Amino acid sequence: MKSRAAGLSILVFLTLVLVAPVLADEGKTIDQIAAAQKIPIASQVAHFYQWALGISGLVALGILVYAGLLYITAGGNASRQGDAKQWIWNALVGLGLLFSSYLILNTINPNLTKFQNLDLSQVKVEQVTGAPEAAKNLNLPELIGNFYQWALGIGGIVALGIIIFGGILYTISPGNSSRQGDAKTWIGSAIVGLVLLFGSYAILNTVNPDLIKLKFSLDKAEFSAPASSPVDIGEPPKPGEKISLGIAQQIGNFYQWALGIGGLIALGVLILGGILYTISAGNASRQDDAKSWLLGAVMGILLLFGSYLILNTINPELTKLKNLELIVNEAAKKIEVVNFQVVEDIVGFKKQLFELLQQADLVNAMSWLWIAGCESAWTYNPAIENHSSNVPDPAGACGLFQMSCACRASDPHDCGKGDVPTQVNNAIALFHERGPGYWDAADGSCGGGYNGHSILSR
Amino acid sequence: MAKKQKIILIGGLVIITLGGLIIWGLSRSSGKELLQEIPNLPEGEWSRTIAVSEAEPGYKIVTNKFDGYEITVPLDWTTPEIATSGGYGIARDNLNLNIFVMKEIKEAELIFPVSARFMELEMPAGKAYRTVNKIPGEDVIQNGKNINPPVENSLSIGYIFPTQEKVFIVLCSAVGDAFEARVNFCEKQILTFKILK
Repeated sequence: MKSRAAGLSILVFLTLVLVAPVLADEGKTIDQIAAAQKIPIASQVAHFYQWALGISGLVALGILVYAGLLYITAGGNASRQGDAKQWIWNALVGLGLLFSSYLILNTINPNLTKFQNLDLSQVKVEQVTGAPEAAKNLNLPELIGNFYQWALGIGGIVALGIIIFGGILYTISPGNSSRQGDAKTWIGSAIVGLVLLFGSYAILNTVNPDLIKLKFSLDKAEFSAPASSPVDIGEPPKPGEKISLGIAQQIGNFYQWALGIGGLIALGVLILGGILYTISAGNASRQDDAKSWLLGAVMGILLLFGSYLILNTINPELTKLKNLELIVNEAAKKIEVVNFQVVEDIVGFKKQLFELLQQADLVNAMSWLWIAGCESAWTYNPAIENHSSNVPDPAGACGLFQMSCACRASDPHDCGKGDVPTQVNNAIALFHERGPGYWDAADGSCGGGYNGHSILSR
Repeated sequence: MAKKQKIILIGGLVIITLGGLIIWGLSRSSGKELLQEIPNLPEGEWSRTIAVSEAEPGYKIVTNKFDGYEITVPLDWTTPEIATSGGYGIARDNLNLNIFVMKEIKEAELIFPVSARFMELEMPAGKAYRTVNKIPGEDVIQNGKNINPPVENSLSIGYIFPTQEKVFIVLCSAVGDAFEARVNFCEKQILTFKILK
């Protein structure tokens, strides 16, 4: 009797250990705070899921306790002891299924257990000077990317729900072999569905990780206007800048888009097939349909990416479709400000710097001035090592724009040393090399940029 | 309804509507007085005028009416006369107190490291989230990845104050001598942070 009680105690302890972490409240991440503020559907689903998991665990625990009591009070009644054993076994299997579903999802991708919210704020509408609005404002890939993650997540949740349902069905049907058989079929189908769903993810991720991230950047779609077009604001080309002749790049973009959209369609079919297979437990006809869909999608993916692989094998340049480029003569376009001098009067200094910035990057001159002021806090002093005693950057970043002091040969533009024109040239070159991200981060440390939006225009 | 009554009713409605529009316009234009124009930038990006007033002995109240906040700090802390659209910085030796104003909490990712964890608190200014971190250092490329190793002898304590319209982030950071004591003292000033309605 004592051993049974001890066994039950261990089970109770184990269950609490399994359930408690799910319900525990640790420090929040920014995402979680944002989610709590918005009270989004995803957050509610996540709470519901965690609660459902906890409650199901408690139900299974209750059954265990009940069965333990049944066994203890059965005396020599073999039939009641058998019933009690059956209850205990079913509760244990149910518990195993419940928490293994959590573990499976957590192992495949922890985010699937976090239920991240569809973030429509990612669909940015930015004012872009000198470029066709349609080409820059629409952020379709991110929207599709969100949709894909949602579809994958919802597919996973459906399968998870079926596993939980099957687990509960199995737990509460001791001795009923028909219902237990049904439960097993549901669970089996859901697991196959899960494998198919995440198999599709794994296949695409293996072929090309960008297909999962959906980074077919619309920034690449620079439908270059002729020089006389009204969108040409007359900004001079930067030193070393490559001038694109356009058409090949556009074809290249179209090819990447076509490949991506084809992959997405195939992926959608895979997900549909997976869900169809998951929810058609025991229905052989519908399972056959689902298999046909899955096979077709896999064949489609193989054909699509097979063509890419063939071209890439013959000559990788065939998939890149490089442009014919003209490189601007660096010597001819180098900023010629030889007499730039820092004056003690900060107003005069700003004026000189602004004139220099206007020569170097007319469109962004004001933004660069803001960044310089923010980064160096206008404590610019050419007499000291890092040219600035700016406190917020104690790691020893250098110069007006607080770029690297290391000035590595491998990354020559990330260098805050040298005279002011050199620093300006470096900052702008870095922007063209790395995109706005580098300076967005700089904006962040300076106060989130202009309300968190990039202040530099390409 | 008699004709006279109709005229009175319609006239009253017109007066109320026009009056409302005038009051709305006046209240909008009054906000402009709190800004300093930056040419070529939209009004929302102009600099905010900071008002400084006396508080208890040894302290001063710094008010940004446009963004809607105020904080009390020691008299000897340097308080610039303007704030940018993104934020405001108060400095004293190697200590910084920054106040950022953002549209939504997600933008706080620009300020805090990814690993930051926040505890929920009830503060005089309302519900807040507190985090303690080291200051991230310069970019270092390690195994092909860009990482920011934390700066030794540094500390940063940050609070997020979310409201319906915007999010305030108040951050105390210090490096070097007595960095912990400085940040702990700075954190006491965050207790005086108020969100103006």
